Amino acid sequence: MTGTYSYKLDFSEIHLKKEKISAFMGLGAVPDEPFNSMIDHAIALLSNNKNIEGGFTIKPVTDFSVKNGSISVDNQVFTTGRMITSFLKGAEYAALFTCTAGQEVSYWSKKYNDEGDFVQSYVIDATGSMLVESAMDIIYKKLRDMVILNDLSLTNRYSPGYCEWLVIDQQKLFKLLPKGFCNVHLSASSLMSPVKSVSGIVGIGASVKYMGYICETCKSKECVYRTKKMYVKH
Amino acid sequence: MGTLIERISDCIEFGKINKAAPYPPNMKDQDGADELTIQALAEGFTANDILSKGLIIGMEKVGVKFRENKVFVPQVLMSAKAMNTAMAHLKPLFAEGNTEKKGIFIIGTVAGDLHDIGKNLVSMIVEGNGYEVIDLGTDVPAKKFIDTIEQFPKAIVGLSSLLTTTMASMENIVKEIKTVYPNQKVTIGGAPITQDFCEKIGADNFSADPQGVVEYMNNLRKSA
Repeated sequence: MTGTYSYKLDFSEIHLKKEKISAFMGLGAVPDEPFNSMIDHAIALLSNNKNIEGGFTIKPVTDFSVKNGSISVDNQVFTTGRMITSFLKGAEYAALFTCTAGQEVSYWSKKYNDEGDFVQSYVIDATGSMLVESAMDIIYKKLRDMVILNDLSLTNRYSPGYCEWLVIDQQKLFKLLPKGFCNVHLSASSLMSPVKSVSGIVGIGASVKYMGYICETCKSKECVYRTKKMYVKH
Repeated sequence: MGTLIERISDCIEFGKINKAAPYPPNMKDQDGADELTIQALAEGFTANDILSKGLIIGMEKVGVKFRENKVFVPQVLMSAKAMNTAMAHLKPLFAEGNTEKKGIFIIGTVAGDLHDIGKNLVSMIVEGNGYEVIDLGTDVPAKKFIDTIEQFPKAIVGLSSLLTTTMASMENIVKEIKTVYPNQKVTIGGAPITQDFCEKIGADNFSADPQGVVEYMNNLRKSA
C-alpha cells in the first residue's frame, strides 16, 4: 500500500465553478457585475497555467493518541490536535499530500495589484485558492481509487493550520515528502511556495470514515473562514 | 436624494466609482464618486470638506459593515477604488497645502510572511479615513520598520501576520522597535492574533478588523 505518486494536471480536467469562487468571496452564488466578468477574466488567465500538479506519499501510521492529539507517521510525530486525531482514528496508513496551482496565480495577482486594479487582483487570488482546492479534489479522487482497490477507506483531508493543528507541523510533513515534490517548497516560516499550494494528511484504513463537511464541529474561534462564513471543503 | 456630499459618501460606501460603472446594480447609470467630486469642487466645496464629510464618512461605514460581516473583501475593495477615484481630484489641491492628513501610519506584513490582502485592506481603510499610509509591503524585517520610524517619528506602526509561525517574528519586531523607540505605538493584527498575544509581546493595541485600527488611531489623536 505504501508508495509515492505525483500527477500533472491540465486546467481542462479541473472543474472550477464560478458560483463557488463567488461564494468563497462572500458574493453569493450569482455575482453582480463587475465581479462576474472579473471571475471570468481570472479563469481565462489561469486556464493557460501548465504548472498545476499534486501528489502524495503513503506511509504506515506507527502510533496514535487521541488523548495527546497526536499521530505518528513513519515515526514522525504530528500534533494534529484532538479533533483531527479523532477523525483519523483507525488509520493504518496516512497519505501525506501536497498540491499546487503554480506561480501563475501570484504572478497575475501581483501584476494587477501593481497596476492599481486591486479588485481584479483579489479575484485572481481567490480564484487561485479555489483552483488549488479543485485540483486537490482530483488528487484526492486518484488516491481514493487506489485505496478502494485495496478494500480500504479514506478520511477527509486535513491540513496544518486548520482546527488545532499548528502550521509549524508542515515542516515535519515536508520531511516525509521527496525534496521539491510537485515543485512545492517550504520556507523556514512554513510558508509554501508557490503560495497557492496545499498540503496535509489523509487517513487510510478499513475502519476510517469520510466525514463530509466538518467546519461546524470545529471549535476554533479565530478561524478566518468561520468569521467570514467562507467555509471550505476538506 | 441627499446633499451632494451625502451622495459622495454613499458612492464610497457602496463602491460606485463613476457613471459608467455597473456596480452596484441599484446605482446603475447614476453619477459616481468621480463625477460627484468634480461637481462638488465646481460648486465651491473645499477638498477638505469633501474628504472629511464625504469620503471618510463613507469609508468609515464600509469599515463598520466589514466588521459586522455585512460586506466582504470585494465590496471593500470597490469602495477603496471609488475613494481613490475621488482622491485623484483632491490630491492636487492637498498638495497646494489646503489640508492636513490626520497622521502617518507605517504598515507591513512581518518577516517570513508574504500575505498581503489583510494588510492592504487595513491600508486602504486607514488611508480612506484621512491618514497617510506608508506601506512597507510583505516580509518586512524589524530594521526596515525602525529605519522608517526614524524618518517619520510621529507615525504609528501596524504589523500584520497571517501565519501562526510568523507570530514569533511579530514578537521580535515589536521588541526591536521598543528597544530603539520605547514610546513608539505599535498596533498588531491578523488571523491568528489575539488580545492575549498583544499583551504578551508588549504591543500597544490589537484590532480584529481594519476599522479597529482607525478607532485606535483616532483615539490616540484625541488624547494627544
